[in-house]
Amino acid sequence: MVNANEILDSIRPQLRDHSQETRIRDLYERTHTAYETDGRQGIKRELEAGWVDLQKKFDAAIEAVKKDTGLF
Amino acid sequence: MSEFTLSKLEITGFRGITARCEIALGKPLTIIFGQNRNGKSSITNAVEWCLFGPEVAKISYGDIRERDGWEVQNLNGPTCHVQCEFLTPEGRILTVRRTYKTARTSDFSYEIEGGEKSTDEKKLHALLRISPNDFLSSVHLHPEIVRSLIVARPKERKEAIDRLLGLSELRDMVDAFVSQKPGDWIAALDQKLAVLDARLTTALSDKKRIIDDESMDLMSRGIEKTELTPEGAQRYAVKVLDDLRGFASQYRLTAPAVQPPADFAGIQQFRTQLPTSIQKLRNEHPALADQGKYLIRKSTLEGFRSSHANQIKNVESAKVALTSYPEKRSVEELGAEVSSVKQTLEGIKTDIGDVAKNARVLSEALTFFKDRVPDEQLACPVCGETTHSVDQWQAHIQQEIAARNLEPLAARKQELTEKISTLEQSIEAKKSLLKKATDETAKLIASVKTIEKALGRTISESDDPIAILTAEIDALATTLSSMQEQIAAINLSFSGFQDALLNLDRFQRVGKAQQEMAKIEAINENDTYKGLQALRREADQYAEDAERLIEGLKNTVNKEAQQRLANVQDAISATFKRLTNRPDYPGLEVSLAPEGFVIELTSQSDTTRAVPILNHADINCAALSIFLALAASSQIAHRLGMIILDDPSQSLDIVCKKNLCSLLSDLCGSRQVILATADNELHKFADELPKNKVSYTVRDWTPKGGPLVEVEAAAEVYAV
Repeated sequence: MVNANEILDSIRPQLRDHSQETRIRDLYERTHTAYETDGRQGIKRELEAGWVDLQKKFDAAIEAVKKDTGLF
Repeated sequence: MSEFTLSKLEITGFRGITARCEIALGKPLTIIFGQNRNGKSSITNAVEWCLFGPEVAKISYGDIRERDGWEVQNLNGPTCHVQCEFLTPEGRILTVRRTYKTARTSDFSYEIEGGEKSTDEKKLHALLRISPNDFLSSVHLHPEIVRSLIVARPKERKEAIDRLLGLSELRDMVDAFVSQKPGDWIAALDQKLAVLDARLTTALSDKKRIIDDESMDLMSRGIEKTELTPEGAQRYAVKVLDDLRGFASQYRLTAPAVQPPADFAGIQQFRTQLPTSIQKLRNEHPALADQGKYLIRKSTLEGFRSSHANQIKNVESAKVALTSYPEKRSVEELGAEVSSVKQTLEGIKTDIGDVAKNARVLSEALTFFKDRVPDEQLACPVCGETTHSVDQWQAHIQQEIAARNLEPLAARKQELTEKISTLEQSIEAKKSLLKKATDETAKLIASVKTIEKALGRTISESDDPIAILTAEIDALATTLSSMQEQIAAINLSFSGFQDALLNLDRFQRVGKAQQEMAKIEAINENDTYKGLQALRREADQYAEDAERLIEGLKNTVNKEAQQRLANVQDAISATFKRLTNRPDYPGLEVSLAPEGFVIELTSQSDTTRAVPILNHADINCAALSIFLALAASSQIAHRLGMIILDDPSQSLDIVCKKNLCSLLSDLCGSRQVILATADNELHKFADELPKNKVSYTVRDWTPKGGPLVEVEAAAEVYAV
């Protein structure tokens, strides 16, 4: 497997800031570990875990806006 | 060699092999020769099944079809078992074993000499740094795989070369990322946001419509446009309360206890309390109380009057029914007649009995005299008719008695019986009519009593209750009429209060809609909405991170591929040149392009796509060149220091076969080569190679016995 630094080096000009680099490094390491354990399913699971969490928060926020505005 | 090499193979009951078969492979070159369908491929395939088990049967790669519905267990052999022994770079023995259980399961174990036994397949694959896919394309070279390198679809060719380069897992990882489509995540969120925005827009328009409609309504009720504000609503509420208090004061009623609203929000509570206060004033108002009392009394008396009038009619009707009954005699007179008729009837019954008795005596007398009186003419004493025998005379006499006495008596009896019945019915009818008349009269008397009680006075027989009631009702009507103006004025006030309540509702709706509109219009300042937008940015960031990571992975894999290709490019071209000796395009070049890998033929002055101009043999040569160059390269990622070539000489001419053997001879210096072939020429050339080698012949295969595997020759070549 390739080193995270190699990946980050190849996209560094496109990165916004150091925090994005840290996040991507973390994401790669997590997904890489998941891939080694469960292959493609591991990546799917790992990516979805973060995304599903965001989606849930997002849906809850929409409901909160609806409730807060008293419209629905 | 610094990698793992295969030193021994034991096969039992695997595919074409039945009985246990042991093959020593320790030499740099192993040749397995035999005609087709004699079990060569079973021997070479046993290695991959031992290493990867049922997983290899699931792999679909390129044009390989031989694993479709793979029958691993030989039905004529003992339990399928394969054992591979590898020599580790440190010189120890790595033993790998697999025993068949079902098409999907097997028992697996491995151990390194002197180490612990393990059943962890992944650990072994990690040790060898190889996956089933990589084994099938970079260690075990099937003829179909060779061709897929050149002619298969770009995606499959790319996969094949990726595997040769040891990049397949990285590519797989990239594909796994790409298949998640981070861009779609954001689209899904934006869709939800769009729905929310649409709802907000609709809500705004709804609120505006409510404000317009209710404002219009309020203005049509005399509210100034300038008052259509929360403050105006509050002023209106205070005014309503003042009016109520003024009303209470005017009629000396208790002032409402409700307090004016402190602000717009307070109108809600004010509005809730107000109806109770209004109702209290209504209940307390003396004029309304009197009016209610009079109305109830008037209504009650009207009811009595109507009821009494009906009762008079009922009494009259009962009397008429009695007097108009056809039977005019009294019940007593009718009873006396019934007694008289019953007495007469009893006399008739006695007469009938007497006649019957006499007739019986006469009949018995005649029967007695029958045999004593000779037959002669006998005359009837009643009618004078003559008969010629006693029997005839007797029958005639009986008929005469019946006709002249019994039948008239029976008719009279029937007549009297019917008369009694008729009289008794009349008695019952008259009794019923009398009772009805009595009952109705009693009710009339009770009605009078009720009226007396209601009026609080005595009504004598000479008084007309109806007239008395009518006078009282008229008096009440006059009173009520005199109150009408005052009541109307009071009701008008209450009606105004009810309208005010409705106006307060309108004010509230306007105010609420205005507040909600303001809230929607200032949505961007709303903390919850800000939170939503922050989450949207966070999601954007997450998706962007994933996209960037994919981009980085792609860059890195491509860079790695380019680097690895660059390192073997010369070797590929040189191998091709050695294999084919083409005068026009002696070289072969593999390069990375956006759609995958491009394979081109090269000359000193020109480059062209390989596939259109190569014949079948040259395509095989091109594929072999890539495979062999990469196999010999230090770029190979796995640690298996061997290659297995299964029938690599298909379509090759004799020169190419010789060249191939020459190349394999060179490859033996860095890789263990296991060559399975049915090709006599290739076998001969390989056999002649001056290498440390072992050669097996596989032949005489039968379903029950499997193949006969013989060591043909083992040659040791020593350095001089």
